[in-house]
Amino acid sequence: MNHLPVLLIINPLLAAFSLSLSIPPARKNYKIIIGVSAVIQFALSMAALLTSLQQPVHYHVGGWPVPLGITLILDVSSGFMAAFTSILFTAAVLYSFAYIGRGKARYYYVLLMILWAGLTGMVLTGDLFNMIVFIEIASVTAYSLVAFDETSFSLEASIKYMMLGTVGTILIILATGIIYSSVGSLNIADLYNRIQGIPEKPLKISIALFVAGFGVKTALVPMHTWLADAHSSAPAPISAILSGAFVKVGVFALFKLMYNMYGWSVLTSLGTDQLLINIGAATALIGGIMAANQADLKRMLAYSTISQVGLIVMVLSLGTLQGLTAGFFHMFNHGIAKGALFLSVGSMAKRAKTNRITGLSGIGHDMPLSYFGFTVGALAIVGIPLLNGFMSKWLICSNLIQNGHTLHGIVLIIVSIIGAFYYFRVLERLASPAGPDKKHRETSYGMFVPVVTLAGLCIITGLLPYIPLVVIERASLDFFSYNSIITGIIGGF
Amino acid sequence: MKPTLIFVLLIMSLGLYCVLVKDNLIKKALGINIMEGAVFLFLISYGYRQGGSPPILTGSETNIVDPVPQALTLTAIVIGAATTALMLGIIIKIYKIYGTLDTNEIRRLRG
Repeated sequence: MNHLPVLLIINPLLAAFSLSLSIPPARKNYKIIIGVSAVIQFALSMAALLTSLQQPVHYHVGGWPVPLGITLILDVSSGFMAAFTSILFTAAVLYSFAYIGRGKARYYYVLLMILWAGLTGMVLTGDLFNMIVFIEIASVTAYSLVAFDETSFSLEASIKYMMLGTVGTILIILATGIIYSSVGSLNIADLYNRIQGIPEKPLKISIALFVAGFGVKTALVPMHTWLADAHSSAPAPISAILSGAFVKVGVFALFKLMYNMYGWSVLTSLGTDQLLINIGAATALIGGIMAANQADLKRMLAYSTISQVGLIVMVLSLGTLQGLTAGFFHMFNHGIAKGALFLSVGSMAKRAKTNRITGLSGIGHDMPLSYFGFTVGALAIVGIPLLNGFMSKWLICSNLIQNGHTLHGIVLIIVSIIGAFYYFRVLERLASPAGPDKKHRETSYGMFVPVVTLAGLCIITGLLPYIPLVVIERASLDFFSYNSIITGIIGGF
Repeated sequence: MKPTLIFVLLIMSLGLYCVLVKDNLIKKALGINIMEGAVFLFLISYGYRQGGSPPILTGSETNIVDPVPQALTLTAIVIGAATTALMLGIIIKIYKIYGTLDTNEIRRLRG
């Protein structure tokens, strides 16, 4: 039996718990432990992606057979998400070494590693309740990481996030209870086979609760208010992870339930796909409009995340294989670009000691490498050709229009124009010649290497989009035919 | 509709009312706990069988209580306890900085 799926979850947890031990070697050498663990985790997730490309792995935790025990499923889609999460986390860990001051740093890494384990578990699990447990592991660490600075802003943002997030979790648990009480199973693949026969009422209620619950976690529009506060008040590497990975993993989990637990035909017959595509369009528009009038740079980036997630939700709710490819590609592109943006803004804000756009004017001259990372990330998210965002936005737009959603395609173009407006405004401001009296130094290696690496990934993906697309096409194929693959592995229930 | 379901909905809406309407952060935290209680009640009441025996199988039982909702409830209680502890911890920090628990006054984040 291949133990790779469970190692992916155990490894960060092991690092976190060995770090929280109060023995002197762990206290003193926490950077070594975290560094080694991050490198191992990165290698493991890449190995997981390569393994899944050859053959999907179906892991029974504790050796229990399928409908009874918890299963972890490593197919190309979950392997891709785990690898993508690991890229961002590795960059964030490297960045944190230079960014986080000494004081409480050990606890910061404990939380960070648990968050990594939670997000990896969310994409790997094949069990509904296990998914909730991982969502909560990730959410609780995210709440406390948002509050990590303990300033008035971060505490306020954290309590907002926590109140809404906990209500979201309660809705998800209630939906799971309804599903279990009407079907009698918790395994996602098993549920898919048995959910067709159940009456319409519990089906409708549970879908509504899942959309509302995951909508809170992923900031879909009526439930989006916490995201801008939380992502702008968190430490920079945490903002990068929450915006780049957490929200995407939440969307992935929601659509895993929609595609692979309910089945897309059930959703179409209930009209949920129309609901989701309109929620996505509203999220994209409102996020874009709100981003345009922000004075705080990190807040602007956070609203931009809301609007890009709206685009992803829009294209994923088409229910087609090509739509999935476009959606996953945009998840990847937006994740690395937003990671570069948040990390570079973190560097600039650390030097200038402010997040306000006016306070940062002219800093591009002093910090050329951070400014380079910011520029590449901004242009990628706007969708300038030759950068990765262009390819995925093109795919999303063409998919929307081919499937008869011309209006939603126009929404994407409007959102991109608004995005160009607010990103170019900031780019111009940061490069303005009005040089301030005090000169800022460029940040240390630990801080600009992750930024430049992520920006470089944006450029490489933009110039050679076929390399990630080969993997992403396989990932969406596995996601689309999840149930037949699992039935093939375990030979039916 | 089963009477327990009506009861669950009542408690749930009571908790939601608390979270949405009350201004005091502690009361909001209590409301979230009330909502959680409703969900636990829903899970447990589903698994309950009239006159059923505990799910310890010796081979002769015919009418046993469903053990899965109980396991889910235990896990959910643990999650709820952890969240509540963290929430109260952050509320204490907020009180130290802002000097109030009123959500109308804790409004420095705008936009």
